[in-house]
Amino acid sequence: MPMSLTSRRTLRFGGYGALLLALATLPLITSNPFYLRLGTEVLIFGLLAMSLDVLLGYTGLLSFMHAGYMGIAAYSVGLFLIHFDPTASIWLLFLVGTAAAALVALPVGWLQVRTGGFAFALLTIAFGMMFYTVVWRARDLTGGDDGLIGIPRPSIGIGGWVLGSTKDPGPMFLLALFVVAVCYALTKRIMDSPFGAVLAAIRENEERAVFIGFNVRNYKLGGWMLACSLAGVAGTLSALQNGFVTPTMMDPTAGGSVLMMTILGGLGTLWGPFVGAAAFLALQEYTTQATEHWMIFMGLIIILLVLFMPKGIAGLVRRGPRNRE
Amino acid sequence: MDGVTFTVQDRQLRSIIGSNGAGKTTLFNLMTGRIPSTGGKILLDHTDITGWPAHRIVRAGIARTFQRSSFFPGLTVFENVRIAVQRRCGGSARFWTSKEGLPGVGEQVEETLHKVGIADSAGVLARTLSHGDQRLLEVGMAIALAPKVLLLDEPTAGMSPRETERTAKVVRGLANTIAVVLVEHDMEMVMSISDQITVLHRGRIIAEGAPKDIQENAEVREAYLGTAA
Repeated sequence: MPMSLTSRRTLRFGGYGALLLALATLPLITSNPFYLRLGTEVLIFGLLAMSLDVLLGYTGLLSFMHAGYMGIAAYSVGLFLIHFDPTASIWLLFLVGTAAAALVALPVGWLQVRTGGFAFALLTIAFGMMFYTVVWRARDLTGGDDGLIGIPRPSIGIGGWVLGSTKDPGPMFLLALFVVAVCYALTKRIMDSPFGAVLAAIRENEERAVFIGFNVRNYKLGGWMLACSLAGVAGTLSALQNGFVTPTMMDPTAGGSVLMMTILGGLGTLWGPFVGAAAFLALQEYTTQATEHWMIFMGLIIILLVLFMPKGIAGLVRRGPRNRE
Repeated sequence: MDGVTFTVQDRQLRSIIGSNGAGKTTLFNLMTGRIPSTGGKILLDHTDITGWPAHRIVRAGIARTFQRSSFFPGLTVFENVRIAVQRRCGGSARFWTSKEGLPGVGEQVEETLHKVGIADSAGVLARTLSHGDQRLLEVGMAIALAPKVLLLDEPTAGMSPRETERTAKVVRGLANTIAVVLVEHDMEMVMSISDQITVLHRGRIIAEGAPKDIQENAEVREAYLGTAA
């Protein structure tokens, strides 16, 4: 007997809530800042990889430099804290970071959606390199090579109630968990909407989508803006977590890493990229401890994973619609 | 294309025949804005739609299928048609409701799938359909748009005789409600279901008329049917 849609939804919602609760106990289980900070890092990069999934897995558009939009948000938040208000409310900071990423993404996206396929991907590299160079060169503003350091650490709270400082790993983890959970739920809902269905149609066959009567440029721009705004949220979290921002966050390696996390986790699932980010960061942590040539081993492991799990880690768990025998 | 002029009326099935390279698909591409036209006019209900972007032409009421089946391979058959229905019914820009929640859409999808005879495959991925069913799915997606004019580019190419027969029935049924333009190589089908036939040869119209007239036309026989009269 197939389960009804509502009971399946209740089950999914219940499972989601249980997972969140379990994750939220992490600061109770361990006070080791290493694990807490690693956990926060996984959440932040998971969110970034998830936002790339909106673009690549749902809309079918490849961005090589998606981390750039995370960087734009992180720098904006850092500069805002340094130059305007060192004790700003973190919620205002999320607004600042997300708006900054979205503001830059809008004209870039407007141009990019006029293309598709390779041209689109190449343009993401061109713009990404441009942003990277600007940040790297504008030493007076961004600190150049050294990065933006000494960013004030605001406290986490709402109204008069304060949970702790962004400096403290426990509260910072809980903040990241809350924000990421909200972003995931929002994005999931959007992907299951009529709008999300059009994005999937564009991914599957753009020309057919046009000849059904969709103005695909507008929908592609919508997907792009959602992806870049979410990257902005991730960038805000990153600036809060670290208290510094370096240009390496926006370099091509960073762009490639996110792409690997997303593909490793599994495209078109939204949750897969979180698993991908966890696997990637854990691997990175382990291999850097074991050898200074960690990148070679990292590369080998990822090549093997991609070869033997083309649908990513999520592909091992997920069952799609039945295929006809 | 050279001086090709024709009209399709409501509830009429006009077939366009001609040898390969005669310009049949090019004609469709011009009519649907897939390639820009360098001259001439395309009118729909007296509105000049020449030069409109492709998606606007579809919205104005011209739907088409392609010579090589064009659908959404990684989505289910149901979802393929659902997206077409969704486009017509509106609400595609909604991002805060469930796509399953659009009122009346599900029923219309079922109805369309029954019309083209692939309702049993609703839950399978479109890419796993047989070739013939994929062609029918594309026809279904076009019908779901409720067009005023439907352009079918060789719908029966590669179909089995049984599938061809079913398709012919579907197409004839459609032509009783809307205007249909059919590009087809299956002469038996063309002759049996068309109201009007236009014969293209190297971008020009060489004959036009009812199936009976075309069959008897000497120029057509020579240029296209290949049998010297």
